[in-house]
Amino acid sequence: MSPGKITQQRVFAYITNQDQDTLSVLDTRTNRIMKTIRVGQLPNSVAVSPDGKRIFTTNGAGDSVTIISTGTNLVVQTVKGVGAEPFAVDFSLRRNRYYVPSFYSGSLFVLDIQTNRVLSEIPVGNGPVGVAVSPDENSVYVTSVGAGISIINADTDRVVGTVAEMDSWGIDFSPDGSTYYVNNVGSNSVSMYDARSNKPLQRTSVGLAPIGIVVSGDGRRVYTANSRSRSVSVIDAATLRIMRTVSVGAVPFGVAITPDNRTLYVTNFGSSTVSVIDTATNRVVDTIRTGFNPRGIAITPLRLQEAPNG
Amino acid sequence: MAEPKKPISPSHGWRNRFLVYVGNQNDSTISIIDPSANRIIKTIPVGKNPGQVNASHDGKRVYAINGGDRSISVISTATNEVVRTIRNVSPEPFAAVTIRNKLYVPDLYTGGITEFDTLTYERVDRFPVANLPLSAAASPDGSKIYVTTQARNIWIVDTRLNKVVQSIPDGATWGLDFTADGRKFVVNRFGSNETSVYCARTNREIVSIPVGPAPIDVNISRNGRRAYVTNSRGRTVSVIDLVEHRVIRTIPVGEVPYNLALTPDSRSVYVTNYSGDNVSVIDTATLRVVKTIPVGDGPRGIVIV
Repeated sequence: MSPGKITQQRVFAYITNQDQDTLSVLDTRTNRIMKTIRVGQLPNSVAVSPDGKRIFTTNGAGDSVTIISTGTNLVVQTVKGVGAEPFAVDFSLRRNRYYVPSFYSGSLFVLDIQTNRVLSEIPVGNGPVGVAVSPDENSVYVTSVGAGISIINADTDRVVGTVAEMDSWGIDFSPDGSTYYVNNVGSNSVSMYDARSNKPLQRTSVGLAPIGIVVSGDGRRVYTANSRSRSVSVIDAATLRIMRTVSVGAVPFGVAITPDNRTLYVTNFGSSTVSVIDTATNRVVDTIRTGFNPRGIAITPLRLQEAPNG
Repeated sequence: MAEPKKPISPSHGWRNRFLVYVGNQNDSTISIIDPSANRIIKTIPVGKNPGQVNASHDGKRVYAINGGDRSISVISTATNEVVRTIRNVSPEPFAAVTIRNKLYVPDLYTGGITEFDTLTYERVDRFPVANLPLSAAASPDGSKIYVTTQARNIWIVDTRLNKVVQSIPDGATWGLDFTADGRKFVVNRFGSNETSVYCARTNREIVSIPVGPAPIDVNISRNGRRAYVTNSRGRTVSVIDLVEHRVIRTIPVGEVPYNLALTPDSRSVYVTNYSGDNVSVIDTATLRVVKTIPVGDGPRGIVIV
């Protein structure tokens, strides 16, 4: 059972409609879209800062990041200078930083979360697509379609290692930081790695071309969006055993889970919908029409203190 | 992307010049450049995000592949106007290749190809190919389409069966082009910064040549002697001698060079610089940039007919 303060928190799902240049704000209590906000061109990903205050979209064709206040749902800033085709965002609040890999620059951009200035540009290799900061905020992992997984030391902003997995896409850590999970988009599988040694522990076949991945907040489940199979794989995080394959819409792209771990949201790029999955029954309980070509998705994070007005 | 190297056919007689068509992905227009003056003569609005442009086999039509609204704009090269829009193509059309009166359009995220009849614009077929296809090239006899992907392998489609009949193991590959005689093809290894030369009969690699970082497009000259490669992270074009199998020149161009195209007389190469919002013109005799032409926002696809 969730603590009371979590159930009182309003939880929103934020969805980028890539080919409409907008962000949809979906209330997860009613499963209705409350607001649609114009952002930069071709928003391909979205993330919410861990303090729940800001929404960040990367705009692939705008070569920009749009920052939106979760309190007002208004754009507060558009950040340029993040390279050619920014693709994803993740955060280190302790370091006051966020990290943006850009596909055609082949770099990871490091920005200050207060000033939104670019602090450094770290070359990582060709075609970076995903980023994950380790839960201890000491390392940043960048996946790519051409250069494997680059591991960056967050103290020095240098690449300190590479995992030779040549077709990685979505990446997420277990909440305790001991393992991370990576979608292998070319070989239709997911891999689990030991985060200390960066050695693969287990590999399991999922549907075709898995892109989005999320680990549940309790660390028990991994969900992958299998873009060419119209399905989501429900995976036991400890054994990497497939527990269920859930049918969703066309070209499922992003996945995100509510802080109480009860509900999974999946963007269906090809159907312009979001599928809502009850994680207890692993069934689709709702399908919601979004804007055109929904791609990125992020959900209000778990917060210890309730922010005013949610 | 590479066009089949046909001899310049009599059907070109109705127009005694050729033009350069550039797809400006981020402002949804096509810039048309007259290469005799290297000036833009017209800018046409098309569908949303025309990432690639291709030409019909007779040169009478140019197709803008609009990734942002699932459509294809059909442009008449006689009037330089959009004469037709094909809608509901697929979720993210990303490339195209023409074989005679057929247009094949790979989709990045569904991993399938949609085939259209270019006389009626009717959809003929849709079939699965592979994960994350980026580019497609037809063998000169039209019997096969080679599809490269962001994921892995080169996938060979038999155009009689519309089915993958073979795959060549590889990592992420991008541009692919055949020699005019169809005996060889070259392919860019996006991940490992190489251009590989293959025997088209056996599909075996002959040699692999290091080029610049993150190579995207490749075009072979009509006489089969040279290949031109855009190094997207190197702001350069590599010129490969296909007899000696080595890079003979690395030419600085603009920011994020993406696609390129050779003029039918093989005297010039036009290169789109995606982040530079311009086109570099290379003289193939001196291997120097002779002109940089500002175009629209985010130029990618280019075709010369």
